Amino acid sequence: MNSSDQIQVKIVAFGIAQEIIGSSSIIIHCEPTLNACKENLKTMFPNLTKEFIQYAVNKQIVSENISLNSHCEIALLPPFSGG
Amino acid sequence: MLPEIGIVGQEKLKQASVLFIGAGGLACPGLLYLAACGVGKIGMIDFDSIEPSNLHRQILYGQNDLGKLKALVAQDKLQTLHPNCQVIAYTSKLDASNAISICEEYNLIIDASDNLETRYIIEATCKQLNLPWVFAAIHKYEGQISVFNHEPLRTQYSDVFPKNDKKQAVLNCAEAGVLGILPGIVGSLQANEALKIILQLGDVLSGTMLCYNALSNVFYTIKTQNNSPQ
Repeated sequence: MNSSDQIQVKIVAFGIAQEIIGSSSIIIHCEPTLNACKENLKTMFPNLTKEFIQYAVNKQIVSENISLNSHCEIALLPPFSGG
Repeated sequence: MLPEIGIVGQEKLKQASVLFIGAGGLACPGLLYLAACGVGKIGMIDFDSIEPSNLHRQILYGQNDLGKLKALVAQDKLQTLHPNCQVIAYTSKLDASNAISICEEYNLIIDASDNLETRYIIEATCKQLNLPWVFAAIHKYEGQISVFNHEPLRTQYSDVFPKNDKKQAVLNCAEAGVLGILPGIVGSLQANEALKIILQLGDVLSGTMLCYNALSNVFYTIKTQNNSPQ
């Protein structure tokens, strides 16, 4: 797949994911699947691989690999522990 | 009196019994508000003692309480404020051996714990006892709130965060630091969900996780049902 097939998605990060990325939201380019998006994020921010992160697409928890488009917003949601 | 609540609603509150797992930062506002609102029976289980680093966020406790057991101090203060509320303190650690016998005395559970191990015990216990539970957790400037095992969706915490070795590294407030007012805000939102469940009023956060950021004032809701959005 060449770069012209890539899409641009918004990443929204919470908790430790926000600390690793260094921002509450960024725009990244990736091939149009959730797995491709995850792989790009892990390449850009290797420390994400140390954490358990749940992914949501357009504010819906998603565990399987799904197709994305340029309107998608991907949220990175780690568990919180404090009480 | 709010017409949607009325005498019938106050009677529901009087008949309600709520157990707080943890008597720390999240529980402090919830305990005060639910007792003040007229909940008839409130329990709290916590084996920790009050430490100086707790005082900026655990507003039931003061300098004179340092070293005392949180559950006993909370019980004493709530009972003084609201003598008509039955307040029960448990000073043991919630674990798999005692969770059923303690939780079965209540009809709603509030997860105000500070660790994931306890959270999965709460999930298993509430599933077995068919009890709804209101979850909240905080991290530095952020909070998460949701309602689990609640009809009709019966979503579970592990639908969002399945057990995973990586999560055991998640830091608690003492390790990560936390904005003092944050558990006040998140614990109040948690208590509000409890009230709505008891009163059968409004929309509860069942099937939805609310993520709050105290720095940006953003409330971000995520559907927790594990379905494809397409």
